Amino acid sequence: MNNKKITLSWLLAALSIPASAEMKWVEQPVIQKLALSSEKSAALNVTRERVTFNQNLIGQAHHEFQNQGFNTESKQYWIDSDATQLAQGINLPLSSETAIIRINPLQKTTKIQAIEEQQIELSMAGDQLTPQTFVNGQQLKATGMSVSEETVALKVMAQAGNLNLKVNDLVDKDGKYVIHVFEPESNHILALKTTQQNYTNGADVTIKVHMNDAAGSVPMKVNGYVTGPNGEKAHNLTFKTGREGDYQAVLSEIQGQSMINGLWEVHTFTEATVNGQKILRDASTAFAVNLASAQFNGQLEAAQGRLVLGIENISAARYEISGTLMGYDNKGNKKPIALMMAAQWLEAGQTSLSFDWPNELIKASGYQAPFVISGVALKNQSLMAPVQRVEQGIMLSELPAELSDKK
Amino acid sequence: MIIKFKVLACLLLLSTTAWSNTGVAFVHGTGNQTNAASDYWQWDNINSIRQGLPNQNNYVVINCEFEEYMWSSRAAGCLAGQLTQFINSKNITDMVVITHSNGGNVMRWIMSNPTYDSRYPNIISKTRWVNALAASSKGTPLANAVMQGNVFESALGWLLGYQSDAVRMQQTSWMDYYNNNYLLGTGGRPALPKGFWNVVGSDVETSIFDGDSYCGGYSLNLGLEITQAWLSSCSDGFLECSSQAGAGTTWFYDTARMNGGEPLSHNQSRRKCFGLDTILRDDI
Repeated sequence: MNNKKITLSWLLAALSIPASAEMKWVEQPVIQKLALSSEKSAALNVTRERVTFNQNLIGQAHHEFQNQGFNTESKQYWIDSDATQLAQGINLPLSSETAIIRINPLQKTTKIQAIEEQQIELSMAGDQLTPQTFVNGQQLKATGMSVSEETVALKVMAQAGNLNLKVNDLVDKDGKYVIHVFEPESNHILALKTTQQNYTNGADVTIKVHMNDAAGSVPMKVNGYVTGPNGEKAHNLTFKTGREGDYQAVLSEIQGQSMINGLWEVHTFTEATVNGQKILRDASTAFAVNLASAQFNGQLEAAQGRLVLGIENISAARYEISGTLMGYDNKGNKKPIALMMAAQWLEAGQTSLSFDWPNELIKASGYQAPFVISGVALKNQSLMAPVQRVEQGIMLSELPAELSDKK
Repeated sequence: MIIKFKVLACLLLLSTTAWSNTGVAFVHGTGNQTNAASDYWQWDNINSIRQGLPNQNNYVVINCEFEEYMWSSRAAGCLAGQLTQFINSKNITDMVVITHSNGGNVMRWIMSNPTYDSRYPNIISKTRWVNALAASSKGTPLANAVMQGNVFESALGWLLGYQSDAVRMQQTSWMDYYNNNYLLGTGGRPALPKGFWNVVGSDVETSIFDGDSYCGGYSLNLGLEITQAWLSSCSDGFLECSSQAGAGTTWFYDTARMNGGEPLSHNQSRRKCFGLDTILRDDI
């Protein structure tokens, strides 16, 4: 198998004509120290064959890639509790009149039973309150909400202050619970975001969080941590006060991982006091860290109707290259032609991947050189990991004969 | 305008139907299905829709494990396998894919990542378009609610199987990442290689006095009184309209086309309710 690849590479190289005058990387790929995944998880996609696809983008607008962190907003918080505390009653700080409270058992034991409405006592400032709505796990699941059978939820009309929640006659005296409080009408909103959605391996991850109410920024205490794609806690966060009433934490030199198990997440837990009333808010958001297991080595060749991109790779895997081919219309406007994609298994070492040149789409577009391939991306499909992205990509001032179907 | 565009596309297709062999595929939402025809779509709905086929045997009901991440071999891999088997065994040359909820994300994975699996390009080639019923293209705050906050809870709940990878993936911040980096068809991204036409459910009726609320829907389900607090005023009880219309092109909102201007709740959009089956039948 390996010999076959070497033979093919040699053949392509022998038939190609270096065309440095006609094509070049507009933005040289950053050469970085490559890293292997420390995870033991098996590769997701181990298929070997080359698959290519050129998608027609003629007539579509071109959009610049946006690497913006997702802004999560929260009017909710979660607290841990247990059967003893619930039997005595726990105080749930509220900042508005409506509260949705979900009581969720943490452990699935034979003793755990769904709580009945009659077991619940609600009070505020000595006054007894009755839930406006009480539902069980089955009713929640019927809506599509993925909760355990033993979960119950209630809606209560109250006011700002401490709502006391007491649960009588719990069967499992050692049971542990999570109490989830959501205040849909509150104007105290926690906002959380990372400054980017994708970080390169070894980069600093900046996390920003702030709480606003009708009067503006609310001072608060902030704690938080980051979990890896496998869900385990990876780093604690230390937040410092920013200039605009926000809070900021920086996680230094984060190392990429496979994202087979999902994304990285930031979790923040905040506490503020407004007019003497405690306000609790929690929020989470997701981001990715590119695992630099391979990179473009800067080499470009045109051969046999393919544009070949050199790659340095320390982790044998299935890799994909992609990029948006653009040309110029007769008014000099740069327009998309095709989304080019190609993938195959690569053994470790100096190797390459190649685009099939979309001559038919170029002809159909009527667009002319220079051609630009923007957003050239390399992804590790075996580990669900972005590897590298070169936004400015590649320019071909003229179409080399090796790519033209007129040859 | 949208309706006209789709009709025009239909007319163009008519010129090729003389030599095409049309089929329809039903792709379920989150969950592990072994008999989705009965348990998810219901036969009266399937039988009504497939009446639109020249050959009514040219249909397939997908049964896969959509509790997994969309890219998993048991999700998109399974879907690709069953669609390929359908295309090959029936010699399908023109396929309409009907998805519900998270099934739209799994189909969008295939259409957005054609190089991931050598079966994907042929599926894309044979697909005329996707009719995406209540697609969870931008996730749902209800997934955030069950996964976020106390990580101890979610990690343990995850292990206990309270939540699945599919639920984890449908958190809003996660779908934003996958939409921007792995999926096509959302704002600011290239379009999908084939049409992805959204049917959007905008409201839920639960009154015990309204017989319509019983059509595969909610007979006074108080759960909605709780869950709708997380959602905007335009939702089908599980997904906000902005998520359902978040990728591809909005075909229609429920109240614009359903009999009596009825809304479609999240469960109703996969059932034979208010004439939806007839619209889907006529679209094949």
